[in-house]
Amino acid sequence: MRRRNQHAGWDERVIEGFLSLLSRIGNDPPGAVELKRKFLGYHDLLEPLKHNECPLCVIIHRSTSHYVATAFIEEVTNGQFREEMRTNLGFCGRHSKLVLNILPWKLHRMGVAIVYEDLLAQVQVNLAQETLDKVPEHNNCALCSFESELSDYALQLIADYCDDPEFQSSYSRSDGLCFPHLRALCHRLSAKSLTFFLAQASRKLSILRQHLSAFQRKNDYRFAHEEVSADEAHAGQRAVRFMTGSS
Amino acid sequence: MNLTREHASPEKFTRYYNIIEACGRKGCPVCNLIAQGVDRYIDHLLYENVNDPEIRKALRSSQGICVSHADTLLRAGDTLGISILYEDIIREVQALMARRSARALNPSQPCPVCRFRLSAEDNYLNTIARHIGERELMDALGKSSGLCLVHLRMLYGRLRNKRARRQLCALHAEKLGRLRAHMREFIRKHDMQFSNETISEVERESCVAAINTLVGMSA
Repeated sequence: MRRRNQHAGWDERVIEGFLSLLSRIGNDPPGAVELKRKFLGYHDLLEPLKHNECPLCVIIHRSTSHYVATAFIEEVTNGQFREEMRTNLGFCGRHSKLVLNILPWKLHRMGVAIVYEDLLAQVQVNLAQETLDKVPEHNNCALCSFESELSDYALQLIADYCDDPEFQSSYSRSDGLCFPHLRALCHRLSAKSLTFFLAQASRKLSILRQHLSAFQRKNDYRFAHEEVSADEAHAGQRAVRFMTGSS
Repeated sequence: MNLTREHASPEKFTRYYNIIEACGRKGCPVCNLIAQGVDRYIDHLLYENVNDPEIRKALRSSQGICVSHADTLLRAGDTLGISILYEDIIREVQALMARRSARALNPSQPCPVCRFRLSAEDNYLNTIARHIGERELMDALGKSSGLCLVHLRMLYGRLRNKRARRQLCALHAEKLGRLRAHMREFIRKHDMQFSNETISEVERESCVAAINTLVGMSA
């Protein structure tokens, strides 16, 4: 099955063919093709780890924001896009917030106004005819489907590369995945890889708990003279974000 | 001096008057009341219930608050309350991780704030359904921004009276018509031929109002 890296737009079979050709031309040593399969998608996963962000949350947020921003400039007069929007009555509540985020930009505002005026027209007709049951639900939000496919692809990519020394080294130095994505990843891992990821998460959580305990202790009037470090001050926020993710 | 409120029905209590008041604010009154209720619930959680064993047990089972309400929790500003609650939750999660099983990591209860939100939503919609058709409520709904589509659908499903259903649909069809007129003006004034015309506040806000009308503000 051809899989498409939706973020970079690269087709995996094309990449494999290209790299295989390169290795034949350059007489690369064994294993070089395997190393070169670390394409843009792989590096997109590593980059957020350097900034202590969950790579899946970052990739999903970036891709869905890009999807929305592009759609309301380039697809406003595309019949297929407009039909999709009418069928699903726009996006779900969660993804509609992304549309609100692009409103400060004039071009995007126009696109949003044109598309949503059309959607309201549809609802108004149903209200006038008292056929509220014919108004579509938001069960098939296009962004939910897009996010689900992207998430699936990125999780599989991590599962494929989780034994790679470079990946493990970057992962160990970072805060790792958020808990919802870690939970989703765990179902795809071998026992050995599961042990690695859970051990890393547990180690980082122990440090986070130390910061949380220290913060609580220094809020006790007996220790109020002790300075609260930046890590301790932000530990509560980090704990909430770890448990919920941001996508 | 007659001090009795003869016009007040005995079953009209705080919730009803909250709805009437919320109709005077921008946006869906039910969404506004739910958002207010959620803010109060979280404030109460952080200031009164941090050491309540039942609340702590519920939060451990749900693995904390869901992502939809996380921002509200963090905005509440009580970092000490948050750190006490989450230190407990994380300790529980570490114990689950020690079992080395992917299935063990799932929460066993829904987010308590979501549970509260569903209950509040149900109560407000039932109150509106009970008093629909009464002049005071219809006047208030008429002056309001109207219900969002999510709550309109839920309310419509609770009404048995055909006249009430018709009134509700007609009221909201009219509101949508007005909103669409503002959006069309907004679009027209972006045309270079009319760019000298001032875009009014209500026209500028029409995109936000359209999105909030379709999906509500309390998702």
